[in-house]
Amino acid sequence: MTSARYIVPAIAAIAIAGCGGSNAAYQPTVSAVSPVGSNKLQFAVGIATIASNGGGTITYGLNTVETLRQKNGLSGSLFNVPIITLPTTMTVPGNPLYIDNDAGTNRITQNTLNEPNIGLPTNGTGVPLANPTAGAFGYGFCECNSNSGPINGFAPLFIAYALPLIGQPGLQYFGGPPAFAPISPDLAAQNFSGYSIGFTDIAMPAALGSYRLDVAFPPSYGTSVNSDTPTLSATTQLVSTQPLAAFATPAFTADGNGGGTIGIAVPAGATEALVFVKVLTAAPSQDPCTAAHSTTQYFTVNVAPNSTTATLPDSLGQPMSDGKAARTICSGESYEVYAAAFDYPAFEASYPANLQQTPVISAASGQADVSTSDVAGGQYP
Amino acid sequence: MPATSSLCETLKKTAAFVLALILALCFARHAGLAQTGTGVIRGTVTEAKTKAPLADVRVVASSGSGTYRVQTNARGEYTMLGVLPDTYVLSFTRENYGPVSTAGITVLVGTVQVFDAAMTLNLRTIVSIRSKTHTSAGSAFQPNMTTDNYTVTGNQITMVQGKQFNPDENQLLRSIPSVTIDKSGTVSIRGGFAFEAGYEFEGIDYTTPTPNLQNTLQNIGNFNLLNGVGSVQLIPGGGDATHGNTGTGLVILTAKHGTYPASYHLDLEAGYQPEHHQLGAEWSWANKSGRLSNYFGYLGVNEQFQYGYRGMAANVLGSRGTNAASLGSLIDPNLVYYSPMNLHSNDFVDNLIYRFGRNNHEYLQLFGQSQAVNQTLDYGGSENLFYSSGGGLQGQCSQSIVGIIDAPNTPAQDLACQSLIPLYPAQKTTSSYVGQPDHLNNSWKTFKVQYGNNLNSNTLLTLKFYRAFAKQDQQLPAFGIFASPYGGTRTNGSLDVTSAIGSKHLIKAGLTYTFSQPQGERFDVTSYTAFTADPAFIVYPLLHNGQAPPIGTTPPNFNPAGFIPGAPEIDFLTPQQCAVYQQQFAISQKCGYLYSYLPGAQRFPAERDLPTASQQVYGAYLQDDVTFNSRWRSEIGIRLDGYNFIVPQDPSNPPGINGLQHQRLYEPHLNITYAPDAQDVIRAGYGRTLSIPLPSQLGANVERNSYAAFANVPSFNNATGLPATYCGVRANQLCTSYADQLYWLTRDYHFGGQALSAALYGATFTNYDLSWAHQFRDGAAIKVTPFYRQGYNVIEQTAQIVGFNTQTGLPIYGDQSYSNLGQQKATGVEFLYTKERAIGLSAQIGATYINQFGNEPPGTYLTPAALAAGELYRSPDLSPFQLNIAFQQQTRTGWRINPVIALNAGYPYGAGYYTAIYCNGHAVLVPTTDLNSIFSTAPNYVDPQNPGTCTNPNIAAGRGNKEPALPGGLLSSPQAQIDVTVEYQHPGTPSLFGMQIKNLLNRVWNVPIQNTCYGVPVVTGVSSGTSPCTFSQPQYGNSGWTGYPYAVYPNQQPLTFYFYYQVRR
Repeated sequence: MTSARYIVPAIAAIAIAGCGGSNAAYQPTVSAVSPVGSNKLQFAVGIATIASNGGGTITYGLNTVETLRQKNGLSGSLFNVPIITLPTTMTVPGNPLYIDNDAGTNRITQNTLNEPNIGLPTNGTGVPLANPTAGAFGYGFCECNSNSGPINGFAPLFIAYALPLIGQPGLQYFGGPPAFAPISPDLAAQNFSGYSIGFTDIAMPAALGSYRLDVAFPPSYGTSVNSDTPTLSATTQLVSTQPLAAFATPAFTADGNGGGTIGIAVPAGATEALVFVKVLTAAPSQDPCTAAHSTTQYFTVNVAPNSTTATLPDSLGQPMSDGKAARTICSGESYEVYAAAFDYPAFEASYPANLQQTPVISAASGQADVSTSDVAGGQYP
Repeated sequence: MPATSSLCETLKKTAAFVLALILALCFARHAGLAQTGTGVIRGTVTEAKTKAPLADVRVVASSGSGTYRVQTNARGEYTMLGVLPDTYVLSFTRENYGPVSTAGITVLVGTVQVFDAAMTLNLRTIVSIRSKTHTSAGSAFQPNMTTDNYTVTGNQITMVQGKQFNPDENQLLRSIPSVTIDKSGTVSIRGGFAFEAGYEFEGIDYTTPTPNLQNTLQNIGNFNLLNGVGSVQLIPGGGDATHGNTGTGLVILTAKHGTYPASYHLDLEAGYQPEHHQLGAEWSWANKSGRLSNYFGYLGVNEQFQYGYRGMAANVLGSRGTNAASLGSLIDPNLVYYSPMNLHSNDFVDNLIYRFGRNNHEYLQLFGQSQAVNQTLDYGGSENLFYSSGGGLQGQCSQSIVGIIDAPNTPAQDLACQSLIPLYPAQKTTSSYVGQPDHLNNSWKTFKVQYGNNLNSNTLLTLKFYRAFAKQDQQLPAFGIFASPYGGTRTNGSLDVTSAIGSKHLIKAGLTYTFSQPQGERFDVTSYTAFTADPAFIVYPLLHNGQAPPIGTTPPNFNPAGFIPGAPEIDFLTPQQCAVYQQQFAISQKCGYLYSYLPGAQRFPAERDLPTASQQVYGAYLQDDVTFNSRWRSEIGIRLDGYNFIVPQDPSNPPGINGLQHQRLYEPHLNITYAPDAQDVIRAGYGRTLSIPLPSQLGANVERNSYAAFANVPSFNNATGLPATYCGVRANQLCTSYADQLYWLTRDYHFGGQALSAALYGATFTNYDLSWAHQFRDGAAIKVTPFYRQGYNVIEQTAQIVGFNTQTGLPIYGDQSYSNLGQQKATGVEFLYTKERAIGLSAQIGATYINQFGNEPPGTYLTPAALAAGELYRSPDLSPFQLNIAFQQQTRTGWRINPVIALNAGYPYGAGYYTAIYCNGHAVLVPTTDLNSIFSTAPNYVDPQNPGTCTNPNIAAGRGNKEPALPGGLLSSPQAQIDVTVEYQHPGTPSLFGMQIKNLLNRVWNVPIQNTCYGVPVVTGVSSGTSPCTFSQPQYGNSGWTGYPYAVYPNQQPLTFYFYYQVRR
């Protein structure tokens, strides 16, 4: 074998050829999907019938429902800026609880949608985390924009509005079992309490006319929306101000085993109703059931329009240390019961079951009306 | 001398030496690796015509290192034992026979050089023959080696280092196949962890009992600085039985020794931008008889560091590589801002050898090294640096400690910060600024006494005793941590016997004992989180089978801003302070509990840690080097390696980390060498090795005395109003005092459930390799070595993300856990080409391809779930291919041009699409999302309205780049660093002038790391990565290179010029 004299320069040449470069040369390829081109936005409005004071006070407002979904049915954007433009005959009333920039205008912007009362999670020491701003998501508006993620460190999961907006702090509607899929312990630990019911009612009189929803997609968190910002829009009409009847406050009767029976009267005109049971966390104790109820839990029962009772099963609670499901409501825990009725397929359009890109969110009339009850509470025996 | 008398004499001496060894072991606090530091020359002399063996031939080996004389026996055999490494002239004389002489017999440590001679009757001229084994010491072709290894000596060291007096040990080692420099700049042998490899210098174990504070991924005592090194030998894989605790390989550095005639060598060096000064000196001498010799070396280095392009500010350079040192720290110490600013080193080496007795058959060696290294950290400067406890906002706590960015502190926050947080020594208030920069001092001292005796012509006994002292002192006020003294000592005594039996067998046997005493006193003024967090959170791992609390149940920011029932925080308040708290929090619990026992303001006590265990390491071996014939040789050996952890026995207070107190392993070694012809050698090796765990892997015990002030205060849980019940190893015992409860909270916060997990023990490795070496006619040689190594029961560190740093966006990990669940599988091929020429072109090319899989993912820390799931990743910090080319052109006119090119194929990076997590108690592999990872590092984002489940998340958006399945699936761009040295020495003169250019191409871009400022779901919504760095604050801001999912920073050391002048006589 002869000397390998050419090895040195050959390998040196290869080595030198691999030198140099710049930042961009070291980066993996990045591709972005246009949110305007790939998503579909739907918007519906209707009349909201809002009962309070034990049903003694009925307020009529505007109900809104939107979907912004990808082809796979999931939310079409995790950061956007929605604006609802009302008929010119409407003006947004003032409310001391809100940043009042929308007051007196016919637009509902993030100023109103960034409701301060939804009970944002704290960092464990009582200090509230940075708030995500409101956006249009796969099923309804919510304060779920991802701009809080970098600051808080984890996902801004869905937290329901305390409805109605611009009204007194009200009720949070979370879809929970048995109507919706159970919330796994890991999700519950991250403050995910249930699924969106999709509607956002606003305590302001609604007027007939055209309503437009614009959803803008700024290129970054710090960029303001302007005319160049990519935007999706949807327009809908309010053709009737005829509301659904008021929803009487449901009555809960405990069965003593964790569940109970709920007496209801679904208002006329509604095609479906959901009953919500909110179970408040009790003081920590050695009781296995109470220990499993470390977070506030929401249960939802789907009720047919002609039903007068709904049954809350006994064992829907989070798993106890032995792996078995805890009682739905532990002895001594406080609960609240309230309900909502719809004249459109609100439940059918909801997550996690519905992954259509454009689920039906309005009745045949083109409207999405809702009627909500007041709340009844008690302590489970 | 009659044979019986000789035998008695031998036995007496042996008994005396054994007794001396026993005494040494008894009185010593410690002892090292079995290695005599010498080699062997042996062979047979025959009559040229008849081939009959010739007895009584006088065989003399001579070199500058000394002269060795033996006579052949009746079978014509001769053996020279205890020969110092050097290149010898070997001569054979016998009356009536023509003398024979050969030059170029190179002896290396632990090697056997075989040279057979034939003598002719009545020949009057000297026969000068060329040795069949006339290869340079560092040639890739080493037919006499029985173990697969690589050697770099003298001129080769100069060539791969570019110049003499280059102290960069990593540069030297990277030139050797099997060595790879990982992403953090740490040397790895065949992919193993640095802890799993052995290092010795002149037979002294150069590893420390604790990780090095400079680079916690390794434990090399000499700061990776070379001084006085004559040769380096690297034995990857199994090696032979004479070395223990070698894990994945062994680096053997051999010191220079005195030679005759005397010589000196001076080196003066300077560089500018960054400033660099160096003074080197060597003085080597021996008397003419070779009885007494001494080598003295000094190297002083004064170097300023520069990262990135010249003039670039430190606060825009991001982090450099990955380093587990950041684990559990508030701030990533690997940020360039906190990187070393400079290095000052003074290093002395002395090697004295005295040979005595009849025919110089005994020798005594005294070797010592004293090295002191000082480093100022805070490359970015300390002028505006504030203590980790607070500062920066005039009387308010640092936002890194309390609250949300841009949110003003509340009165309670300020109160907690100013009154409760422990102060760093010499810190007056929590809002003080750092008075002095972070710094690290490293003292490394060793000495060795070695005695050798050729008991007879066939037997060499070597007795060795050494001690090594590592003492580090690290002050990190900006991190709230100081460690001093840190390091420890190793004391070793060993006995080795080498005996030639006939012409075929060379028996080696030995015993070794080492006592390791770690030092690791460490103060931490930041661990007060144990007193501000929910005790239920702290003891969660103890009550949930070692699992850390899931993300979402833990505070993303540890801080004392609020009040959590049960946390001792409000117990420390005075009545006036309680009133402030009451204004902010509706506290129904008793506030100010301690005040009634200890009137006056109380601060949280700082944590003080001490090492848990000392360690005894022992080894014994028996090996036979068999020379079957001129073609076949083998090496068969068996070794016993073992250790004892000496752990203080206190059942109520066992070590925080549970370690197996005794472990031993019998390790077979088999190497077979076949030389089909004079130009080729094929070698196969098998060896099983043990990597003895460091004493520090048992962790440090939290010192109870830190809480002594509270010893007389009854325990109290302010949530219940009763004594606390979370003490004891299972967190279910009544706390005996308030000091007890503070101790257990701190300890549980520090170690989690580690004390309850399986006891740790050393990893074992099975190594196979096969090599083929070929020597070309021009003396150049190549060697190709495929290998396979599997590691069993590899110790892995795991940690869980428990929060994140709002300033850097980096995850904060919970405390480390150790486990033997690790695996390592490495397959690879090594290549070496060598060519040495005194004049002309010389070259050394080393290349390593390695395909290794282990448990560690890149870019983040190994999570307990990944380990439990048994998930294997491409080893994160290893480049799969590294190439080192050094060549020099030496002209007759005195010019030497010496380029050195280090090339790698890139490093693995990438977050990976999947990650391992505990989902409802089960370790599973799931897509990485913001549900299971810190938002800023998650490659996928769930739909907030329909997040799915932990095993099946609904991913609605990503970061815009295609992530491979597992972390580490991407490979960064190839990198090359070219250094060029040009020297001129006028022939016949002692002066030499040189210039060394480092990083000729000025390539400073580093490996991509996840851009934590790019928490932007780009697939739907934000269309490009132009999100502002939400965490960005002065000091940490990293603008400029962050518009991508991965950030690449130009923070490598730039183009640098060194000029030097050397004198040698």
